Amino acid sequence: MNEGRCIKCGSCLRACPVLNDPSGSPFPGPRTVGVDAPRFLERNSIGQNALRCTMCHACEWACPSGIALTRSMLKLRSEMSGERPPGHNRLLENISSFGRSVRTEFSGWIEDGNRILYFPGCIGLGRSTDLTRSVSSLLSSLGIEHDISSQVLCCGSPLLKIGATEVAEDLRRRNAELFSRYDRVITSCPGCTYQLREVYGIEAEHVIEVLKGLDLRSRLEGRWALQIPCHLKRGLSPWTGEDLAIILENAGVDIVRMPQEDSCCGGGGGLLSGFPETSGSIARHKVEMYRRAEVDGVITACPFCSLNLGREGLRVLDIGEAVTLNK
Amino acid sequence: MRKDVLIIGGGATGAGIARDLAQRGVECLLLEMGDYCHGASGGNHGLLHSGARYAVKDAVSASECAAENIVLKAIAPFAVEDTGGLFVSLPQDDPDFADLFTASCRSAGVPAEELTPKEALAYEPGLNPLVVRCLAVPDGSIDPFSLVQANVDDARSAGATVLNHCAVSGMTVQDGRVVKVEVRDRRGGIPSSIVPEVVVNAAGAWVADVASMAGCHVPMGLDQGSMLVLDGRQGRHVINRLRRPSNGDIAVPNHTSTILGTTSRPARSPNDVAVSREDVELLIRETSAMIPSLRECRTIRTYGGVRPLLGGGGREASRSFAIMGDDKVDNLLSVAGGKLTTYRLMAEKVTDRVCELLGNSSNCRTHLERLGPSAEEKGGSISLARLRRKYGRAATSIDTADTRVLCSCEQVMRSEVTMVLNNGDALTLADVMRRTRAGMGYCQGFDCSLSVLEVMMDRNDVDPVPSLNEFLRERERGLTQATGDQLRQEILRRHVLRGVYGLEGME
Amino acid sequence: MRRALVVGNGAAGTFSSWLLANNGWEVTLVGRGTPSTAMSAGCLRSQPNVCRSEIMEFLSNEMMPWTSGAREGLSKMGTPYRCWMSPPHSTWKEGETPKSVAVVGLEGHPSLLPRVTSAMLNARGIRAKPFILPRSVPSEVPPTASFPGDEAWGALAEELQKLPSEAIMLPAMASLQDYRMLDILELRSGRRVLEAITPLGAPGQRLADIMLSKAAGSGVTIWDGRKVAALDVHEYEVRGATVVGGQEVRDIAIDAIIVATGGPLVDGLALKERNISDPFGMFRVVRSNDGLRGGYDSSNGMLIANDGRSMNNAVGAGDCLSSEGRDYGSGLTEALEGAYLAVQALEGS
Repeated sequence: MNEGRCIKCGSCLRACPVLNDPSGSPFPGPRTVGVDAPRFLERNSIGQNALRCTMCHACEWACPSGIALTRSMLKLRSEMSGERPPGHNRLLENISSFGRSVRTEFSGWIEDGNRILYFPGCIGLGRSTDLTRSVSSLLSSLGIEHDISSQVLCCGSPLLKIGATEVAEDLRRRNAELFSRYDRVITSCPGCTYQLREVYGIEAEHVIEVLKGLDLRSRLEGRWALQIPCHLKRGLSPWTGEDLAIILENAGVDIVRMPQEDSCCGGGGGLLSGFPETSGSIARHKVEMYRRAEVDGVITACPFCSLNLGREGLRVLDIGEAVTLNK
Repeated sequence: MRKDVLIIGGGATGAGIARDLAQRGVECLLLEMGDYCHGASGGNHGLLHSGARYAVKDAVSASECAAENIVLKAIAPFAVEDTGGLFVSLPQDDPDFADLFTASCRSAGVPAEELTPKEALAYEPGLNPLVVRCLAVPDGSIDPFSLVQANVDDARSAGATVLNHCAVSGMTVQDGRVVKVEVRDRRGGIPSSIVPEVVVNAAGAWVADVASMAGCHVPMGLDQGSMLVLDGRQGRHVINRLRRPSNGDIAVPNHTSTILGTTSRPARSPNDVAVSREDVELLIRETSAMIPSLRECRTIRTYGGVRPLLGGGGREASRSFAIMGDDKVDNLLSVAGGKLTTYRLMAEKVTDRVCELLGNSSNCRTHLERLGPSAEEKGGSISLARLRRKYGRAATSIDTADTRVLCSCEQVMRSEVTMVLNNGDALTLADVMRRTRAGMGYCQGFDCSLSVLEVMMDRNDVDPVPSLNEFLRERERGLTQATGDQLRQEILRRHVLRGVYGLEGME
Repeated sequence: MRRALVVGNGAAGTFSSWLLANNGWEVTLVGRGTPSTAMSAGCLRSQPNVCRSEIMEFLSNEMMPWTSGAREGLSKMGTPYRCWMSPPHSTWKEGETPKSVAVVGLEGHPSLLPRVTSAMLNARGIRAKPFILPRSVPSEVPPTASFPGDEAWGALAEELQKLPSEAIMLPAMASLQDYRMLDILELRSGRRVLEAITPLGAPGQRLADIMLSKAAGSGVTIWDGRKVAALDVHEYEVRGATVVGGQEVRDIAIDAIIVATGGPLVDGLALKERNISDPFGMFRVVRSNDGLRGGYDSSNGMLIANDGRSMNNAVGAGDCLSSEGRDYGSGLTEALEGAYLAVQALEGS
């Protein structure tokens, strides 16, 4: 942990989407939580408001001292005592009952013994099943025959975000054996991708990485803006973040670039379940920005972004719904 | 103005004496020329000794420490971090010393329990894996500012008058008695001379200077010690070197930092606190032998303290204390020596003598009456959770409805600053800092000093420029040795203060 | 097409990449973290001599005009700040000092401390009075976020109308997108509106944003959030670079490099104890007692390799260069001029 490098420049505060959200969320800020708090004996008393972070890494990217702010804030979450927000308790109940963070709606399981696994993640199997179906059929059309296993549970990332490290580890143990049956694991959620790589040690691929360089086309008309997911650009790789635009441009989609296209949708880090008002406010203001640009919709590559922006009335498509194989 | 007892010096000793006298019904006035803890009380390790460190050479000091250690934990739990301490020896240390040390602790009544190296490393994971012998003792970390302020507050509530920023400028001796004491004050509230029955000279390193105002000579030595403040709590316990006392033996976790110490050299005057680069290198070298990771830590600041020692001074001088009268002057008692851990005992003995002189036969109660509550607090924020630790009883007068934070390094709320200003002792920015810890963190006031000044100006007619310059000059003293990330902080500070604001005199 | 790698996203990096792109180079700019430029007061203290028109063109943009000449403004502390070029609401023409100023701040917010600053102004003969806005904003919230939307600005304009002074001093609360709001405030309040000259805030951020978008607009490929981990050097020529971003590492081939990584403040130069060194381990560094002034050595613009020989295609610009004798406050102008000269040196080689 290198939070001892802080020079109090305040760059992280200016980059934080929660601090800058007009709803006036009582988030203490990345510096208080990630840099100052670790020094105190009393840090476990920091209080629930410290959880109002979407884990978007904007603070980390802004920090001139290269402090691993997100990692530090995550570590503090595992040390916090006191009450959880009700939404986080519900998450724990869901995991305990059926092993996923939200109720599963998906039913199109594929358990054919393929060597490739498509792992949609909890949201993709829950509220955003359209996304899952379109990615699955896209993969098939590209000749990537895959399983979608009903046995694989939540990757555990949301549990780390709420500081429930033991539950996350338990999920990992239960999932690891299943993952080992496959040669290749493809995900549509950058959060899952990151978790599988960092915590499970699996070389999981995000859909964007699979689609890159392939010959694709799109039937989409009109002008489309991008929502470049935080965990894609700042979690996996900034080049992968850029590939979203490249793939769409090559497929012939009319893309409108915007300076804030890579800012957080408000859906990550346990904010959506824990503090829905703040999460919604951030999403609303992002949607405002897209509306002012008068685009026909937004294309993204993350089920959380799709969900959170879509709820504010914006037309949001996942990459799997935007492109097809160019025949 | 007539007073039964005039106490000169508002360090731990003076404040302890004021509390004791007031509790015993004696009318007294304490004058401190700067802010409380101006001298050694504000320039020490913050170590609550178990006594182990003195067991071999000075059994009396060791026993006194062992007893007072228990007393202070009982009466001032808020000011004490009961971390426990370890004495560790390394391969290069004298292997016979450990046994001598253990035996001496036993005979001096200092609890010491031996741990195997494996146990030691489990207990304190950052220790050098080559640790040979390890003894666990009841050392702790204590906040002298919080402790002394609590003594001052207690003394006042028992009827004492206590004033900081008031300096004694002269004494008139007649017929073998001090009859008049002249005072130069920054507060404009009290008359400029006092007529005391008894004068207690508890001026620490200035004892000889004060005594000479009455024509008395007090033989004492002045010894400077350097300390280094590292960012973050590095280690769960106080860590001491298990060898004959030398420089760089101790690392003390304290609030949000770790204090490394100490060194020893003769001081030319009570103000000769300067820390040298060699001192800094020595402290890091010696303490990182015990905890290797200390070498990589950020040094926030260095500071020095001048210790008043009986007799000639130096490391070998007794750390015990003495109360000295003088043949020529009947009613002047000078007290010198001692350490923070035994301040209350020192104060008790002085108070006993004073009461004898005044014909007061009350008993001492300072070891029985609490100075404040314990620190356990669960707050909705770190700021709230820390209020009792910093302010003891006074924490209840902080308006916790306004949770806006003013100093983020130390998580100090604006309402704390307001409370401290209401209290009346804080006249300068530095005074506020000592009490709230604003400006004591890793940015050393970079972010918060102006905000504190703003709150001060809201309440009084304070001229910001001299106040700011004084505070920043004091911060500069500790920063002249800045290296690594602290130097980067310093570069940014200069960009802002000189490059943009054009404030001169910052170098 | 010749390929250039520019390392550093501050004034020197963005300006040199813009110049190179305009001269037909294929430019990739790699940078991470907030540059010192964004921490500055966002003004040019001294007049550029060498490339004034290029600088003016580089900084011109649609959202915030600039004024230049002999200008003076008020620092956040109330001390005088003289410069050559600034945003229009930051300064007045020298000699036209306002006689009275209302110093407006948010209660308890560090962005502008009305009582301290008023006292400093009064001490030097400018009649000043504090005016505290009743909005309570936590100190960690940037002032640019404390006035969201037109309503909030409108309400502020109403408040400001009450003030009797000639000028109003505001905290640095206008983002680049909102800069025009200051014009509107001026119109509606009928007073001169002055933005406190503030480091570590909106003015520096605006400047850095303008520079980066001009570079991007001229065709420079911006690789943000990435860092050059190593350089591939043969015979005093940099042939390639290894760039790290997140979990990915990429190697690129290049024909020239401009190192504009900044000083120790932003880890452009490595700092251990009080000694700076080259993070790439390739180029010679001149040390100085003052941690601020050391940096890369150069000869006719080219960086010097460790063995003392001049590089063929590697130049340096900005704070990462050694600058003995540089005064505080001339950093931005020097960085820009130095970047211009660095580009010339590259093109000349």
